[in-house]
Amino acid sequence: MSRWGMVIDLRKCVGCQTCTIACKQTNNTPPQVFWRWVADIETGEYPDVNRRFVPMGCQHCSNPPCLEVCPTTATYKRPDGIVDINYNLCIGCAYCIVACPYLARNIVFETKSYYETGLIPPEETLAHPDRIGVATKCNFCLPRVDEGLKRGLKPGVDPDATPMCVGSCISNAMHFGDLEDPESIVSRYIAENETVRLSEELGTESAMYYIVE
Amino acid sequence: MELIASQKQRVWKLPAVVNFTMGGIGTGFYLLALLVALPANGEWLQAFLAGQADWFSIAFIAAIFKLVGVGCAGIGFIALTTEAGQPQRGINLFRHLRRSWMSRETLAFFLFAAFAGLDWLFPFVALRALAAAAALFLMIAQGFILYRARGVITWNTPRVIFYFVTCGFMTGAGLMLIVFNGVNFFTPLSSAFSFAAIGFAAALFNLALWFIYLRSSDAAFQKAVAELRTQKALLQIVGIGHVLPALLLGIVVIANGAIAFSGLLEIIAGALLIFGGARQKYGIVLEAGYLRAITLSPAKFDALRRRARSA
Repeated sequence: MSRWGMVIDLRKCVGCQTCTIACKQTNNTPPQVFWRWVADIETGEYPDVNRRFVPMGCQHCSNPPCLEVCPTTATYKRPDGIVDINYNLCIGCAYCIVACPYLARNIVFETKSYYETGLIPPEETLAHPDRIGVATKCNFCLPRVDEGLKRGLKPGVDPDATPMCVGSCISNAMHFGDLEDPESIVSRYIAENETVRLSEELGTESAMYYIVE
Repeated sequence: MELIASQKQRVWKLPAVVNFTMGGIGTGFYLLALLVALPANGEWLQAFLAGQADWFSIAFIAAIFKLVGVGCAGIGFIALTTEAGQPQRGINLFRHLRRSWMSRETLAFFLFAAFAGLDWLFPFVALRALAAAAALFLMIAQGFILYRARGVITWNTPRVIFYFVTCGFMTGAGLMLIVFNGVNFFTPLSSAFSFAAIGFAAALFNLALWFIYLRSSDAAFQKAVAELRTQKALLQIVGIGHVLPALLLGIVVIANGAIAFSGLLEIIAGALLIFGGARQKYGIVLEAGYLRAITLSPAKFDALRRRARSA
């Protein structure tokens, strides 16, 4: 069985936020909601200062804090490791939001427009009423991955079966693939580089690996 | 290395505070109400069928001590429906009893309400025991709800569970002091223990737990509870919410009936205990509800950096 995951090479990320926008466009997320975002971080002390860009989002943990608290089982983990939300079950209690240590989850209570004049026709067409009043988050572009697999494509290799943030990355900093497959691009990156994961001390066993130096 | 600084959670607001406060008051009150000797043992239906004239009074007083606790907890649940995005799907709350403390809390509330309601209709010691067990479980479950929220640094500590239990008994004792003295004004009641003494002990226990809760060697935790350590917060929580009612109740206990207005003192102390507990929960949920900072493991990061430089 596959275990989908990401490797993000922070040495290459330039903080252009293309992944952020690609995600917004693909998943039609409303204003103020970011399933993928890039943290702009200053590290060190003068004169040894660094500016670092860290793409963030759901870490698709093996031990997801959001899953165990969800009272409705709306949050579930697929056998391939992708943590997703069944919007039809979610009651919008927001328990998962306070349980997630990665600021990965959002909830909006009404349909909002990017424009002061209200929803414009494309926004009305692309609105997701099923996502109102429920928790939402990155799902590794699950529909693209599943559709790609049906068509015999390889996620992480074939762009049509790969999350849009990865496919859109201008500096080739983001990689997606099967962590269980030693020949996958992510496994090779992990084998060849020192990687770290966010807030590892919490034991969430995230599926997002970062190459720092 | 801290990537994203700790920030306040903004999704659980006042309704969550109301739920946790009313849940504690309601369950604590019910458990303490078991100590009250009800007129005719609360068997109002038998009195009604036997044609006794005072059946309504028996039923009314039994309802106060058996159903007010359920009502309080119910108010908390109703408050939550104003915060949830899709409350009409509430039935789904029962779907994750195996792991989610919110599911367990919901089940505990419904069992509590069912057994307490049945015990009011048909007084029976087994029903009372089941209702009491459900009430205690509900009180504990509310503490576990916060404890299992791993994203919030000040909630994700086992100390919060013990705090919730003592606070439940303290605020329950507060409501009991008000209700018992209020009812006693019209119908003389007796109880197995002095509620003033219970309120006094609960206030001291809860205060001790509060200071234990605030103590931590974790700098991030200390920073998150800073608002609860301000002079204003200490005055409200410790001074008005604990020390003052404990003093009033101490006077009542020591006087042992020698003071004519001891009932009034108990009612005032009861209200202050409720204020103290509610203020604490407001503080924990809204003032100290800081999400964890997102970090890259410092040791690993430094080692990688050093290795990269030496290379």
